[in-house]
Amino acid sequence: MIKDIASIVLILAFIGIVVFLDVPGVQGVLQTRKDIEIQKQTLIDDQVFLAKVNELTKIYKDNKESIDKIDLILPLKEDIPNLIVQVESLVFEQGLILDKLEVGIPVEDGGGTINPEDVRAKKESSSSKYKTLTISLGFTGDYSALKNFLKATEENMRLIDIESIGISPESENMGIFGFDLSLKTYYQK
Amino acid sequence: MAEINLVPIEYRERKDRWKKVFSKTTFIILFLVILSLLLHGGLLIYKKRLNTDLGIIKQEISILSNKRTPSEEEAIINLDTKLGLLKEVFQIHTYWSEIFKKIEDLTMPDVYFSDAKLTLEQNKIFMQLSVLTKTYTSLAKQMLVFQNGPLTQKVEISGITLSEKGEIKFSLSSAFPLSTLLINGEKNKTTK
Repeated sequence: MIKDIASIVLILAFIGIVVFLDVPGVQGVLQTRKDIEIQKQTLIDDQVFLAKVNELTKIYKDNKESIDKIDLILPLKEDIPNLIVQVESLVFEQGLILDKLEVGIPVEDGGGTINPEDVRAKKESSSSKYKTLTISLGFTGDYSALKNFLKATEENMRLIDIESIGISPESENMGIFGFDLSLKTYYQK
Repeated sequence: MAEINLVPIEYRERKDRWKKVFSKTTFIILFLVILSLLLHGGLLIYKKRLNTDLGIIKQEISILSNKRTPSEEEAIINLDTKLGLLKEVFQIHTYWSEIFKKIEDLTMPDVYFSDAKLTLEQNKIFMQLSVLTKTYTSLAKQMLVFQNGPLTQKVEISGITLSEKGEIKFSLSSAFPLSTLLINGEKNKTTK
């Protein structure tokens, strides 16, 4: 009888130890090992990330001068005063006489514009993260000056695109034309 | 023959008492209990070691995090965004300087343009020209040259009239694909 009671007590103790101590213990160990694996992977990812960031930072610092030029190509703001100076300079450098210069008011949603019939600009602006400013330009001069102006505009630091060109002869002067241009420039949102 | 037992009587009695309480099975179960307790102990030690390792890894992650400079990362992200924008605008950047040369190449020697209007719309450059020429043959030739031009599309002639000076005046409309401006752009970009 005593033997049976001792056996039962020990069996219960054994079951209790296994169920309440060993099984949770094993589960805990497995969970911790899993956590270690996750953390190890995080560590590796962080190391790779940091190495990449350091590499990119070095490239960034080495090319800081060129990178700063991006803000000149695509300014952070409209920067209309600077734009007017640039356009005026582009016109005068080619020996053209500036008759008209109008800068459009940008619409809030990226570039939208000013020029309501400009379907293309609207399409571009709806999906992009930059805004567009339109410029209406009127100047007088000869044909070769216009071509020089176009070339200079293409190479201008601030990106300017031409949307339309109108040419009409000046009645009094042979070889002198009146030019009407619609330009487009961009800036970051 | 009498059995000779050298084990002291007291000890023999104590052993017998144990035998009354514990059978062989009980001993096996007791062994298992001890074993499971040892296992639990082992698990506790092992888990403690694992936790130490986990702590070290977490500390290393924390050290790495401290090494990060958010301002530099932000600058790189900003640069990436800016480069994306730049790529986007350069893809649609148009180069008009050469288009007039292309039109000149397509123009007959005795043909003159007075008014001209070039508009970029719906991925095409629409061109409207007021043209002056001396003969109808020149007019026809001019039309043919534009029609057969590698880049011109849909050439139309309208409003043919004879001016007071005896010149033939007409309107010529045509369209160029947008690629005319972009292809040139690609060329320009590589030379920059």
